[in-house]
Amino acid sequence: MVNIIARRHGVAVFLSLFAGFFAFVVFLYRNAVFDPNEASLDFQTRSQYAVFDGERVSFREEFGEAAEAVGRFRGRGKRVALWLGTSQIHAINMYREGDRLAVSYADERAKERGADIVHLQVSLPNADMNEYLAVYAALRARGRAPDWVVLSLVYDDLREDHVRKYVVENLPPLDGLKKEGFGAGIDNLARAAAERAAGGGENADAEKTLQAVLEGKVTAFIEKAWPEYALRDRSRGRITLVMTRASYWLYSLTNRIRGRGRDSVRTAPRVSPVPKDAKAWNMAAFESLMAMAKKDGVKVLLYRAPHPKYDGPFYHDRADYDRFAARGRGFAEPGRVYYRDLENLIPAKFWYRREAMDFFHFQEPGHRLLGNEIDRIIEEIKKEPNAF
Amino acid sequence: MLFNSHLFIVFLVASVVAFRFLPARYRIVYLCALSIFFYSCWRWDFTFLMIFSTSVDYFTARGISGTSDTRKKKLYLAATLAINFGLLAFFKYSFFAWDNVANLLTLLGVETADSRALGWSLVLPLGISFYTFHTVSYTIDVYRGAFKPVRSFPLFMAYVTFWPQLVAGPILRAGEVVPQLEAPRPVDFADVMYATRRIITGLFKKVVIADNIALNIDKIFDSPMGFFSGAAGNDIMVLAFLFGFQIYCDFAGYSDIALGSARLMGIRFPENFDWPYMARSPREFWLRWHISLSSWIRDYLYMPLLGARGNTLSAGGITAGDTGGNKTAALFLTWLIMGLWHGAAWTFALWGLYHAALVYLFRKAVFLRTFFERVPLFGWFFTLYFSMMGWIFFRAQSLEQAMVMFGKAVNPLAWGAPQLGFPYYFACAGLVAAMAAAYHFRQFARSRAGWDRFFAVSEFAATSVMLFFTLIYLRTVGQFIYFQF
Repeated sequence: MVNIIARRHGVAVFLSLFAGFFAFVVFLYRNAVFDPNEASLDFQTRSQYAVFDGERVSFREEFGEAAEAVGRFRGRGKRVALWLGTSQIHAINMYREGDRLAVSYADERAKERGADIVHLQVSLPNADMNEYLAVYAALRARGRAPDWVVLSLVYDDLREDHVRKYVVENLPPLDGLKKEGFGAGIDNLARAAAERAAGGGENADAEKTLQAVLEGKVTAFIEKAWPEYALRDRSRGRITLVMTRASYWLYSLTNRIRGRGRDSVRTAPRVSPVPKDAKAWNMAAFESLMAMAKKDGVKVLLYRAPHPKYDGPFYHDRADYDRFAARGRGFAEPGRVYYRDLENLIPAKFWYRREAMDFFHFQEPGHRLLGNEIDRIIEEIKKEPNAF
Repeated sequence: MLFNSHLFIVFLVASVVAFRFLPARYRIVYLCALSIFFYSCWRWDFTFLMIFSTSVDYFTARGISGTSDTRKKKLYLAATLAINFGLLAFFKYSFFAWDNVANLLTLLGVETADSRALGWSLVLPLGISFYTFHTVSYTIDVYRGAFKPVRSFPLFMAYVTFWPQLVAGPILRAGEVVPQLEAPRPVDFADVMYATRRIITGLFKKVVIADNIALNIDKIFDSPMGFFSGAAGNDIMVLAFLFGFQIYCDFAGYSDIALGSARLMGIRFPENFDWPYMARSPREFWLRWHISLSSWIRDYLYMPLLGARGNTLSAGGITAGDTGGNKTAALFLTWLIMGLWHGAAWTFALWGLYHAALVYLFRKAVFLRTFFERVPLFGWFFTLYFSMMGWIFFRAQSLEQAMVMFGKAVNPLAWGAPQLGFPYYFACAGLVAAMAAAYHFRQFARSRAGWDRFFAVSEFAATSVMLFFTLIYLRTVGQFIYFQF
């Protein structure tokens, strides 16, 4: 009897191998085109590309296309304002069909006032200063440095300590830049790029083991024989999105049960402090980026990224948050670098996704406000003495 | 080699197939070679240390059994203990010892640099805590006359280095493994499927649950002190629960894979985890958590401290069955050592003492014991909550952080509006609910003989789901937590 039971369970497991594998294959293929970056956004927040007058004006990892766009607009006698930012400028909270990004509103306003300026953007999710530096260096090496850089100062992203693979792949050789003396940021970027190229990362020691070498060969073999297997990160992204949706559905339910709505007191989730090492690493990149822009004669508009107003204690170390902004303000130089504080630009109501607040991404009206404001600031600056 | 890797799957299939088809006389040497290769995937140079440790116990055990002189037997035993624990102490505790001396001297006015300031670094050999306990238990059992020494060096080495349990246990006795290595059981279809399910379950626990929890909470735990001073107690409680699930899934997952892998070769290991978070008392928790370690501690430390003889099986954990001796002193000393076995830091010692205090409380507070027996649900709440809170000491970066976090988590006045995102609470509640549901379903299944077909279908569904997620998440994100011990 025991044998029959064991055998029955054995058959159940045997059949489950086929069922589980089949479900995996189906899921893998169905999610082959899913963008895993979408998983990091809330389920009602959608990443978008911006198009203006039939031409694309926003880019993410397509640095080559961004460089071509700069060249194209320059060729028509336009000056190019390149926005560098995070998902805040390419994602729309509570997205509805037809919603547009801030950069396209800026272009619309510039066109209406007959300005010779075009706004383009390159944005990466959770981008850090090193990645902005890398994007600028990549465009510069192609002879496509913009006329000015519009840089979003996001305090929370000072904690990011990565340089993405596709960013590294687009980097020009950095030895020349090192010799130009742009500071430690270039050295750090070169080191991060070298580690990435060597396949090293945070755990470089482990990656030199026989385990790592053989695992790399086995995985490469599988992915060569079955290319879709390499796209499992997209399936993971889809699962993350589903789990996020489920948890926020539950959250909405608890809000309804507790009678919480848009007018209820909001407190931000507390985040861990920005690690000192990551902050120093990013600040070095910031300094190098500003040095490069200065040498290239590129004008810079630094703006403190918008943030929702809410009740309760600030979710960052406010003093350090303000110090970062002050450093940006410290770069200001008439005729060359400008700083604006846009922290309170966008009203709280535009940060909501149903009853919950997204503390980072805003709705389409917020994009309209930001886009118009950036172009308005540039227009205002042009009227100043020594303006560009 | 890491179990959570594609390489392991290839290694497992190749090694098991070859093992089954090799003539019996070559199997032991083949196992030794496999285990050396398995270990070399981390560092080939440290295999010599492992072989040295194995050799010491092989020869000292032969020496013990080869003499009737009690004094010589004791000398052999002392030698093996000194060498094995000396190596363990050197690699694992020398910096800790120096740092404490340096701190003490500095307090006394003699400025002394600690190991970090001196720029010292030392690689901790993978699995040293585990294979040291294997070899020492063997020699002690031979000394006690509970086990005859293994004549064949390859067979003994195969026992010590047997790859499924080499780097993270279970910690097994020679009497449990050696006879099976000599004559593995036949493996039929049901065994293969049982083993496969265990391996899939273990990988699911590790790559789907443990690694994903780690991705979300590691950076929070590594925050500077200021973060925890301002954090709400309920948030810290949730973090402790999540880490508790992480370490359980990590370690129990490893044991599942080890058990399954060994089963494929006809070797049966005893269970190392038995749903510890469903325990209804602190004492029951230690009958269910890392059973092989607590059994080892029982037989080679706790029982001898009480003047009693230990058992010979790596099962049963530390029980109240004992004779004479100072039970309280033995309890606290045993758990202190068990804590320090996990890591060379006072936080681990505190973790051990914390659990000793819980067990002691349970021993003394008869009313509590009686109440929990009458209302098991409260026993479960109490045990789950306090065992999870204990992980704060285990995971904290420093004593100060541990005390601040623990103080807030257990003090209702320190609770406040949640600062952690809702998904953390959702994940915590979901894991507790899923664990309780799975446990009770399993208990129900075992008690209903006539429902076997239904439960076979549920096994089909559960294994399919686990395999599905495991295939999506299988990647070498992090090594197993217990590798650092």
